[in-house]
Amino acid sequence: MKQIFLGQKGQAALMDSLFFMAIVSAICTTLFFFTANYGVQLDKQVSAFYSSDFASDTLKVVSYINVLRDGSSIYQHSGGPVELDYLLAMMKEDYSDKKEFSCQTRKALVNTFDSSLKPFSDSLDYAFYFVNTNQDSFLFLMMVVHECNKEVYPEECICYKNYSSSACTGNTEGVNSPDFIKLNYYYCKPQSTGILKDKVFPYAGKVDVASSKFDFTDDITKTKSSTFYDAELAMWVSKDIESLNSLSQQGSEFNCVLIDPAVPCP
Amino acid sequence: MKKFFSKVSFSKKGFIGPIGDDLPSLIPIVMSLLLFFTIFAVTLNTYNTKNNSISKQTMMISSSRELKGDSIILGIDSFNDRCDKLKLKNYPYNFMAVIYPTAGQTTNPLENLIDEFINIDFDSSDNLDVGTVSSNVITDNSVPFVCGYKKRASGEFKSTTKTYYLRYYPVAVQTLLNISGSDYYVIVPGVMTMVVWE
Repeated sequence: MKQIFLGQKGQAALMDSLFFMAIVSAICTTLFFFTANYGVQLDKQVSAFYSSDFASDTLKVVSYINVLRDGSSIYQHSGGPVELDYLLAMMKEDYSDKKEFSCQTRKALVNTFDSSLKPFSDSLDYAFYFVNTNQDSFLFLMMVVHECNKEVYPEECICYKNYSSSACTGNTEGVNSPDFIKLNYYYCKPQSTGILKDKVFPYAGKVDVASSKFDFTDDITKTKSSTFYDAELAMWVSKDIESLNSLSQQGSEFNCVLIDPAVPCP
Repeated sequence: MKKFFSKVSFSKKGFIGPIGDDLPSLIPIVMSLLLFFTIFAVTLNTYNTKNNSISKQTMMISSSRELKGDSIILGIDSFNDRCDKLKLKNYPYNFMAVIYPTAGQTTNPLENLIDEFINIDFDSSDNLDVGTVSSNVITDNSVPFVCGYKKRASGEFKSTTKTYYLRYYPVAVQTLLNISGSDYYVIVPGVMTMVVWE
């Protein structure tokens, strides 16, 4: 009996150590998951904070900067008298005159956004708009999307969209080359202000939106007659979104025309 | 006495010493301890690394906010004032901030940015050597918009710098610009680029 008792003592010690190992393993697993997840959420928050900060800084720049009244960049003055103005003043003047932005103002906006968003211009698509949600109307909507440069590379652009088709076998290499892709600016007049929330944002992934209020005076001659518009800049990483594939085509819900900053305004 | 000896004799049956008798149970215990301390060391290391990274990013956010203010910089004096105040705080990390013009450029000044930062030197008093700043930078009265701080005895930003953070911030900068032969004070768009390293 005593011998059996001694043997059982040994088994108990082994069992204890196995329990100890199980407890330590559980602690180690907890520590491992803690390590893997520590800081991830904070990193995401810092990153999201930076993106939204970048978007709101861009909006501020738009409201501060000076432009030439012909819409061209200050650095590319083509001669003649130098007519400088604030971009915000030009927008307000246009609104007061015609309730829409002139060609010069649109060009100035394109140049300003092009320079402010230059660090991410290779990868970002965005929409800049003035919207009045009470009246369900856009004062101005500019869509900026990356598209294949069909004018210069017609053959390559066929494969840009249909890279999986058999006709494009062997031609897939380089279809995403930056040479073929161009950032296009569109001035759009859609019927509804909900078009971005319905047709673009759900398919764009993470969208960073910065918003600010702008007061536009309806008529300079009258006082206290003004309308508030929300100026919003929505940015997302460039993506193939069906509703943005044919922005300038007739019948498109966005009802857009291309803005070419190189073409002089009438 | 006899009873005692017989007891000892009995307990020595198969007994190979206090450690030897528990050898099978010692193996899992030692393995558990090894596993625990390894994971603990890895966790501590990762925790410190991530804390350091978060601290650098937080520092970058706060210092860039102080430098750019409300995203408008009204001349080189205003920029240098902000820069001096920032340096006074004696930040735990080194940083450089440069404002590039991004409007109407034939080439993107941000393309070879890291090379441009690498070329910027600090003098023997750890002040930024303005003469080594690239000509691409926005200037006001020929003074470039550049701000830098380096801790004493720490290395400059070079290609061998292992970890660094780079961020861009759009800003509006008031500067004296020559347009068609005449000087104008204008507010132009620019991008403030900031790099932080240890």
